[in-house]
Amino acid sequence: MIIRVLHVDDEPADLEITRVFLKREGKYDFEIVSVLSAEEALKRLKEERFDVIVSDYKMPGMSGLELLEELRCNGNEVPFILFTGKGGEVVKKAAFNMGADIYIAKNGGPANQCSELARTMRELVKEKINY
Amino acid sequence: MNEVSLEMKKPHILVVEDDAEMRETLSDILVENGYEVETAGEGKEALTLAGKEKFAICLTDLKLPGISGIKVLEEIKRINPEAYAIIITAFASKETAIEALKAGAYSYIEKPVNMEELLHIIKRASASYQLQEEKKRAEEELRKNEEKLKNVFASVTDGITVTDLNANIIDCNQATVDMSGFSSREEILGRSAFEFIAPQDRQRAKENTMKTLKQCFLKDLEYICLTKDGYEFPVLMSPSVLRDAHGNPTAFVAVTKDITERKLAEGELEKYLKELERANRDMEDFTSTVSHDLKAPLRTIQAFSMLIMEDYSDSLDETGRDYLNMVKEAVERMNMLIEDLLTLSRVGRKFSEVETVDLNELLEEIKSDLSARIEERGGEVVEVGKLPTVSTQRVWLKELFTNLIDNGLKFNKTNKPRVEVSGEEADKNYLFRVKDNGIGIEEKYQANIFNLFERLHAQSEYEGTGAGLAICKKIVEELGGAMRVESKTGEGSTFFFTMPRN
Repeated sequence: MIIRVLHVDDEPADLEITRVFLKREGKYDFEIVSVLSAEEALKRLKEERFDVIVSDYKMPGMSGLELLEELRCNGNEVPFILFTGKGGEVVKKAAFNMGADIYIAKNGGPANQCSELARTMRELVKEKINY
Repeated sequence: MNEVSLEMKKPHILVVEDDAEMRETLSDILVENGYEVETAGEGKEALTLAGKEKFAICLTDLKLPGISGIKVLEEIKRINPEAYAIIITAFASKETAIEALKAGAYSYIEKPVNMEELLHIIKRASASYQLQEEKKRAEEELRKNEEKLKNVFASVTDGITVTDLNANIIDCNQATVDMSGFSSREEILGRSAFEFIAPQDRQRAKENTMKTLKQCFLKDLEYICLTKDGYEFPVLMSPSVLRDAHGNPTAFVAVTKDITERKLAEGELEKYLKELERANRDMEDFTSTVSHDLKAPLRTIQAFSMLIMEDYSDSLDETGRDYLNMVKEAVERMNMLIEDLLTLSRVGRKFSEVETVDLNELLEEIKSDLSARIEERGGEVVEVGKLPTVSTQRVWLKELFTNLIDNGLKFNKTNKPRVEVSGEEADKNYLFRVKDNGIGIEEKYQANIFNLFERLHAQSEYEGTGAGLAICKKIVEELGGAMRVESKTGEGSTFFFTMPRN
């Protein structure tokens, strides 16, 4: 089974790290589309179907939370993971209130981080199928 | 007082009698009866004596050569109006008696003198004189006291206001006048004391008046008062009740202190404190933000050097791989520095709840956390005596002891590194000691070791960022204590720190 991921982050290096380390996770095939802004993400979402969205919080222009709000207001219930290095409790709470599924803080080594991200995405997608 | 009562025992009597024999007899009898007596044979001599000394009683013959007895008694009364004059007369008649009494005589006695009668009259006169003198003295004392009180009343800088039981002002001092902005005391008298209290405090003041009546005295009630022109100023007022001899309340007395300046000073202080707190918070926010911002690119460097090392190391030669290793190590060090900065910014900000901490248990936990280092070095961590149980923020106390113990093991070249931990309860503080047998600190460096990122050794010799002791010191200070070190090169170091007991 292939999980289609839309990854939104204004930092190209972070997109690349996540792409590479997720590929290394192996077992499942993640098909990752990386975009550099929330606006671009909305455009892609109109054209394609994704199993999960992974988004940074702080980005120039539309933020991760604004992207989430836009999606939920338009009835898009695709699983949403806020994946950020800046934020803390306030952002975490706001994200859950707006309908985010998971909040992951970018902390620690990239391998562990991406391994957690992969596991989370699999669980979310499995849950969605069962539902 | 002694002098007075002595004088009271022996009233001074002047005997004026031209008949020498009679003069002697009178004098002897009076002296025998405890009086102090002076004698004169004629008027002029008598007046000279009266001018020099103060006599309580003057016993004078009416018929004298030269100046008459009436004249003598008139003069003596002029000199000392309180003196009692008793006339001796051989010419007893209503006229002479009336004349003598008119001239101010106290009594008269006929010749031949009945000594018993005379003594009786003198005794009465003497008693009256003493009573009169005593009253005069008491009045003088009262006047002096009143004067003193009046001076105090006028000169105290606190306002003193006396009101009747309906709180209408019946007296006040100059300080009250100055405070209220009126030009004289008379302008204030008769007004209700509540007029001087700002409307928002008036109801409370009325309630407190009732309370004062019940409790007799209230201390330091804080009110906003009004000046004549309606300007508000803060005061502390202490009202009390005056009572009559039967204990019934008769008046209120209030002492009022203008605390405008104190309030201003408090306001200034609060402002500075707030500014300081804000500056501190800004500083901590800054450290926290910067640390987070620094961590993001560092993670990128870490991730890509890891990818290169794992996926592209075949394309590099030995030197290239060495360089990459150096990048990796630098990144790890940078990570530690940032972590330490974050810890430092959290001390004092993210203090957890105060809890009861048994330091013996805490030490066991630290030993277990550090077991790898202890085993690797073949060292030991020992409690000397029983450690106290304290109320504190556990997280930070653990960080503190862990840092000090870890340092003692790390900066140590002996075969058997040993760290001793002890603690005792002093008067107001706990006094802790962490002693190691490590390399010690050269005296010239001792002053700097608590500075942030202060390192005395090469990274290759001893790993670490140099933030540990700065963090320790900040924790101790946040907990309200102080920290210092004693050390000798080659003989180890002892870190002392205190912690308040409350």
